[in-house]
Amino acid sequence: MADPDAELVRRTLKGDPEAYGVLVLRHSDFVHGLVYGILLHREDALETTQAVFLRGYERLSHLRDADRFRSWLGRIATSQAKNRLRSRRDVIADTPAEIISNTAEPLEILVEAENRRRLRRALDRIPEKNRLPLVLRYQSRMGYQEIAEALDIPATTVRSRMYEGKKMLRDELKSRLKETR
Amino acid sequence: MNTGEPRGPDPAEPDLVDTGLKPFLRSEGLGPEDRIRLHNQVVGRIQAARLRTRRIFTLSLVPAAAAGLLLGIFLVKILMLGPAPREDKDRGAEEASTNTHGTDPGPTVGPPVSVGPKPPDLRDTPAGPESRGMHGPGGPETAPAAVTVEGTVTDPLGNPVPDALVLGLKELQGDVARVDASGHFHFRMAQPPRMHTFLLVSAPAHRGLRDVLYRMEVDAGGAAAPVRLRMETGLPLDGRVVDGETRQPLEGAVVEMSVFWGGEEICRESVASLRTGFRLQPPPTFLSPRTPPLRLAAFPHAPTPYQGEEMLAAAPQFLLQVTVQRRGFIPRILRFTNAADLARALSRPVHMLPGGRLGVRVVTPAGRPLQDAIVSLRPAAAFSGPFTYKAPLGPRTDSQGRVAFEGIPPGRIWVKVFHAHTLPQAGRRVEIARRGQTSVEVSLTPGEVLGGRVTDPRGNPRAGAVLFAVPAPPAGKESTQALGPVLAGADGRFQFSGLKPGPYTVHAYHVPASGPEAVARVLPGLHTGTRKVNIVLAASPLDLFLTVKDSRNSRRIDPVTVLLLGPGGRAVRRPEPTGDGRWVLKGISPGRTAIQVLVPGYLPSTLHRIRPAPGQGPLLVEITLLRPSYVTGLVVDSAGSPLAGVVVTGGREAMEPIRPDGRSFHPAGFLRSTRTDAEGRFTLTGLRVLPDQGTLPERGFSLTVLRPGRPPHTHDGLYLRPGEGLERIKIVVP
Repeated sequence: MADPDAELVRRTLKGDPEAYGVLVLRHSDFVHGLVYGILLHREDALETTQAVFLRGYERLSHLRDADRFRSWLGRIATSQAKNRLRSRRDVIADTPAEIISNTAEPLEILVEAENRRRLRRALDRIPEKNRLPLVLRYQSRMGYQEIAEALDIPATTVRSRMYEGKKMLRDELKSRLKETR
Repeated sequence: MNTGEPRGPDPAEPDLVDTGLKPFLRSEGLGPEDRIRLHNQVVGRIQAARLRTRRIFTLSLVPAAAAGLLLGIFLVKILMLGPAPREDKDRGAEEASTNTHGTDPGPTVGPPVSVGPKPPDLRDTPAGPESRGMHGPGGPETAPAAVTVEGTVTDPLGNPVPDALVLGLKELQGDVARVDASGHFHFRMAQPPRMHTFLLVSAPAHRGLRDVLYRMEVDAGGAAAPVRLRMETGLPLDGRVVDGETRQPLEGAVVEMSVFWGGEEICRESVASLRTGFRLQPPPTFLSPRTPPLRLAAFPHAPTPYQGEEMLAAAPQFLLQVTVQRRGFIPRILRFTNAADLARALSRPVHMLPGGRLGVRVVTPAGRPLQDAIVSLRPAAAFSGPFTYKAPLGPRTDSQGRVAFEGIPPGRIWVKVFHAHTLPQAGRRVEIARRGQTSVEVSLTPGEVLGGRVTDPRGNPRAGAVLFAVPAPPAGKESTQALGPVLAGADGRFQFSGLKPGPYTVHAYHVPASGPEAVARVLPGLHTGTRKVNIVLAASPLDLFLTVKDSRNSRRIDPVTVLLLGPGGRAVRRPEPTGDGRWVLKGISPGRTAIQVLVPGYLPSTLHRIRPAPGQGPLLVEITLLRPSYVTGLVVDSAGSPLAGVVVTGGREAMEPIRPDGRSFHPAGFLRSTRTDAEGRFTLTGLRVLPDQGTLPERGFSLTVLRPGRPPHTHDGLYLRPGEGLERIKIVVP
C-alpha cells in the first residue's frame, strides 16, 4: 500500500526530499494535464510543471490540510500556468514562417503537424472550463471523481462540461473542415 | 488516486476517436521518461539547494534488491539531515509577496500537519542562468566540488581482490577505480554523490555484496570515510542447454548475453552451446563495444526506468539478458537485474522445449495461391514472454502461397495475413500443438480496383502526382483513414487496389516541384471497379523570394538549394538569383508547403512552413543558417602518452539539466563517434547544435573514451554554443 499524500507531506517537511519525489511522480500527470489544459503547449507545460512542484515544495509548510495536497497543488498549477500564459502572450508575436521540425519526413510531418495544429486550435477555442476536464480525463487519465475533486466541482458537472466540451470540439472541427473544403 | 487508467464508462468515447483528440492528448502528455526527468529535476534542485546549505552530508550505501555474484549494484543515496530552517522574516516576506500577487492559493482550513522547518528557497535568481540556483538561508554555501571515495575490496577471508573494478556512477557512466594488489582503491567522483548515484563493483569470479550499509561523512574538503567492500568468491558463468523433454544436451543453440544500461545495450556476446555446455565471459566492466556501428542500439523490450513510484530507487537501470535460441525450439529469454541471479540461473541447465510448427497457405476464394502475402503471428492471450515467431525464409508467402513458422509456443495464436490487393482480414485463431505441424489455410478476398489518370488543364499527363483515396466516413463519423499515397505513372495513370466497395474521395496533389498541394477533385458516391477517374490538376503559380544569411555575421549566403516538402512528397529546387542578394523560386502552387534551405558548409535550415494563398502576391522569407559545430581534442593516458585508435563518442545528456556547478544547459542533441589518430587526436565535425528557443545559450555534452575490455572514461562538463567549435580538449584516461 502506497503512503498517502499526507504521510509523504509529513516526511518531506521532516527533511526527506525523496518523499517529495514520490509526490512529484504521483501527481505529475495531474499537474501537467492541468497546466497543459491552460497553455496547450507541451514544452511550456513541462517547464511550468517543474516550476509548480518547486513552488509547491517551497510553500509546503503553508499547507494546512495535507490530505488535500493534490487540490492545493492544483491551485498552484492553475496560478502558475495563467502567469505563464500572460507572459507568453506578451512576448510571442505572430511569425509568418513557422518552424515545425528539424528533421524531415515531409509527408508525415506535414500531415501530422496539420492534424495536431487543427486539434490544438480547436481545443484553444473551447472554454477552459470545458477543456480542462477533457485534458485531465484523456491525457492525465483521471477518473470523473478525481477530476471533480481536483477542480473542486461536482462530478456531475465534470460530466456535463466534458459533454459540452466534446460537442463544441466536434462543432469546431466540423466548421473548420467546411472552411477548408 | 490516479492509477493510470480512466475509470467509468465514457459514452462519448467513439466520437473522440473520430476527432483524434484522445491520441493527440495522450501524445502531448507525460511519458515515463518525462516523469523521471521531472522527478530528477525537482528533487535534484531540492538536493542542490540543500547541498548548498550543508557542508557535511551523509552518504549511505545500501544494496540493490539482489546484489550479486559477479557484480554488486549498490545504491548510494544522500540522506540529508533535514530541510534547512528558514527565518521567520523570510517566511513573512514570502507570504507578503504571495498576497501581493494574489496568485498562489492561501492556506487551507485545518490544523497544521507539521511544524517542521520550511524547505530551502528554490527560486531562480534573476541574474540569469549562470547564477541560477537554489540558496538556503544566509545565501549559498559551496558544496564539495568532488568527493574522494576510497576503500578496500576483499574476499570473505580478508584477502584483497586485485583488479576488481569499482565504478561510481552517475546516470549511465562514471568514475572508475581499479583495485590494486593490496586491495585498495580510490577515485574522485567528479560531482558530489547525489540521490541516484551507484557504486558498481565487479571482479572476475567473485560475488558482489549484500546487506551492507555504509554511512560515511563527507567533509567540506570532499574526503569521505573509507569504504570496505567484501566480495564473495566462486562464480561460475558456465551453463548448459538441454532438451526440456529428453534432458539431453542440445548442441548448436545460440546463447547471447546482452547488458543494458538505462535501456541501451552496452555489451553483447554470443556463443554456441556444445554438448558440454557453454561459457559466458562477460568483461569485467561489461563494456565491449561492438564496431561498427558504435551507436548503441535501443532495446525495444527494455523495461522503462520507471517501475512504480515507490520503486524508483531500485529501478532497473541495469539489465542482463541471456537469449537462447535453437531452430525448432521455443526461444528462451532470461532477464536479471543483477549478476547474482544470472549466475544462479545458469547454475541450472537452460531447458529448451520444442515448439510447434505452423504452415500457412494463403489463397483466393477460388483456391488460387496468393504470393507475397505477409503473415504475422501474435499470442491470442496477453503477451506472456518476449519471444519472436520466426519464419526461416521470412514471413511472405511463396509462389505456392505458403509460409512456415517454427518454434512457436503451444497455445492459441492469432494468424493475420495481409496482401496489397486483397481486403483486410480479421485474423484467424489457431491452436498450436507442442510438437508436430499445424496447418491453416487463409482465404483472402480480392479488393476492388480504382484507377484513373491525372492530367493538367491541357490534357498532358502529370507524372508523379500523388494521390490518396479516402473512404467516405460511415454515418455519424467524421473521417476515415486515407489510403495511399499512390504515385501517378509517366502517363499520368494511377491505381488503388484492395479497396472495400463503397464511395471514395480521391485527393490528388501536384508533384512538389510544381507546388505540393493543388486541386483535389471530390468524387462523391463513386463505387470502385465501376468507373475510371480522371483528375485535372490546375496550376496557380506564385513566386517565393528568399534571403539567406549567416547566423554569425548576417552576411548573405549563396548559392542556395531549396528542398520543397509537401503532402505530395519532396523536391529539390535551385532558386534563381534576383541580383539584389535574394533568391526567387517561381511557380509555387497554393497550398501547404514547407521549405528547407541547404547550403554546403552549413547545417540545413529548420523547416519553414509557408502557406501561399491563391491571388497572393510574392512571398518573402528570411532564413538564417548555422554553421555546424565541431570538437577537437587529444586522448592521453595518465602517463601523458597519446592513445591511438580508441573510440571517442560524444553526445547529449539525456537528463539532469542542472549541473552540480550550478550551470544550466540543454542537451547538445547530437551523438557522434570517431577514433583517435596515431597521435591520439580526434575531431568530431558536423555537429548539429541548434539554438535553444529558451534563454540558455549553451548546450551541454560529454565525451566518453571507449576501449575494448576497459572501463569507459567519461569527460563531462563540456559546453557548446550553436555554430561554434570547441578545441583542444585534453582527455586523460586513467
